[in-house]
Amino acid sequence: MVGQHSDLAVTLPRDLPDGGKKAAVPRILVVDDEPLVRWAIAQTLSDLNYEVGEAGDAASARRAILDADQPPDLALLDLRLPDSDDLGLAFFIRTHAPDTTIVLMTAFGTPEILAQAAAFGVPVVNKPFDMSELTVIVDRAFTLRTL
Amino acid sequence: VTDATYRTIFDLANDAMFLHDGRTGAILDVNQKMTELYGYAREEACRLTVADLSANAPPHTQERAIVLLSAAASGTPQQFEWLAKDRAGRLFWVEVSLKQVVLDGDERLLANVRDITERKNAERAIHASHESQKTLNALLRLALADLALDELLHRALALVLQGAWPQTQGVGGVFLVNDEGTLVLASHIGLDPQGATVRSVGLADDCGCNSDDYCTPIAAGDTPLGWLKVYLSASHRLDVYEEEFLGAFASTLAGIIVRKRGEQRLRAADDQLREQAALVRLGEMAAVVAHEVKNPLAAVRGAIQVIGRRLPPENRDAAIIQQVIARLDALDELMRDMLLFARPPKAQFMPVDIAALARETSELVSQDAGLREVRFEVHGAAPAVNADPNLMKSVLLNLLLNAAHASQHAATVRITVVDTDRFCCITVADAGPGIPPEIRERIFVPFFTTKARGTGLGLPTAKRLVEAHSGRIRVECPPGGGTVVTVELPRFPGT
Repeated sequence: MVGQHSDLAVTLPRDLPDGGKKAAVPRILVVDDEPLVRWAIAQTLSDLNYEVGEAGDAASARRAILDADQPPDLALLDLRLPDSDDLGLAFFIRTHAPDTTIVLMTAFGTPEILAQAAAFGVPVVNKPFDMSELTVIVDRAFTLRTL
Repeated sequence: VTDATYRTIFDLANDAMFLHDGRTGAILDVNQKMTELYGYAREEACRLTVADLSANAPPHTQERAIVLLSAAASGTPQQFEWLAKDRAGRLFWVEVSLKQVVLDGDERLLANVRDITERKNAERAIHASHESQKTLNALLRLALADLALDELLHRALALVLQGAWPQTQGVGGVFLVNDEGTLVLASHIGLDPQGATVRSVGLADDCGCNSDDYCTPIAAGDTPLGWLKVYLSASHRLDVYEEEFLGAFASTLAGIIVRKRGEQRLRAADDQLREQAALVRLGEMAAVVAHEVKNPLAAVRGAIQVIGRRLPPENRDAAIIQQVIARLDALDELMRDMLLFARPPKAQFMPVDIAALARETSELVSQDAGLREVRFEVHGAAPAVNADPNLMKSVLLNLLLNAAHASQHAATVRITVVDTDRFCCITVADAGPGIPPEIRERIFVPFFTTKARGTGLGLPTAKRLVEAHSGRIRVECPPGGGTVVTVELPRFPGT
């Protein structure tokens, strides 16, 4: 799948069918260049009743952040993307959507990157993880957010 | 010409002369030169037989002398070389010319005896020089052949001991100082390596052996390398030509040994470099494999898991999905093992209690369903060692799993931690069948395995990780059975 990543694939709904529950459904942006991983994470989160948006690279993710009426509550970011392999995207989100909680996912976290992420206050989860762990990861992120 | 004139001429001759009775061979008269050469007075000499004046060992015996005298008496002059003996028992070479003469009507034999000691010595010197040249040439040719040092030493010994010259007992050996500084019998012909003769040899100036044998130092400049020992039969006399030859031989051998050892060291260093380069390439390859295989593997696993979760519980395919995930996990584990071997993470050193780590690891292995019956015992303790606990855990895990797999059920695996001045030694001993010798040298070769399901990366990985700690690992199979793996970790890496 190298070099073959999706373009913009944002499905953050602007209008929810039931406006009353709008605030009650947390919105999550999944950024990963591997479509199968993205699909699996998005589907798992959907099944958990989250609203899920997807992006296949850093540029799409930036646009999704800027274009959304409301920034996502949580962004799950793959550290290594076709157009980004540092904390640049995390910085961008922190700047433009300060209310968005960020969780980094990485299979190849060098000690330097991990140290930077820790300094930046961004939790890191190691890839691959079992889909059943996703709920723990997301719950923990939201718990941190409310603290 | 009077008798007196004859007498004068007889005595003036430069050669010793004997006058024998033509029929009996008895000595009737000898000249002045004979008395000088043999040390007997004329009257004494006339009472002697040829045997008294000969070496008297075949072929220089009385019997042979009679044959030669008879031949001369029958009219055929004889000329031959003879090993003679003087009054003091000294042996010396003479050339005899034997002719029939008739003196005053009596049949006589006149023996003209010339001392040829000088000529014989010269001949012997030429022979020795020729033979030693031949042997040294053969040794130099050996040195050019592509032989291992052991084989070369053996063939060199055979040149000395089994050649036509010097005449030896065919028994000898090369003693060399090994890397540990001890003198060992490096090669021998006809010696008992455990015998007292061999054990008596030391490296001191006086090698401590019987001086009736040749003991030639082998030295490179001022550095003694060992001894070349040639054992002689009791009758053999030490000979200056042989000594010189053995000296030259030992010097040549010293040069060859130094060169061969240098070559061996170079080759070992070369092999090590090549191995390291291969490992670096393997590491690069593994990184690519990790990215290209692990990632899609994880993607497939995640997607399959979502699909499986969505199947209704009664769906028969749900079990298959679980199996697919198990296979993917096994593949992922293989990738992890390969990565750990090919590109081990950089060691993060910290003080580690090895005995505690061994206990922790053995509990982990005990939880493996297939290994419940194997018992692990951890003995001993050592002060904390500077090590990477995760990497050392991988090492111990590999060793304990191997030991457990080798054990018959309900066997005990003993882990012993011993502290020495410089090392923390960890031994893992199992009571299994041991490792056959033909396999033992390949156990650290990556991907070599005798297990039905094994990657063959356990011991190579353990070795790599131990070496990343500047440690050593070795595997022994004691005669009593089982296998003992010893890991030595330096207590103070870098010193």
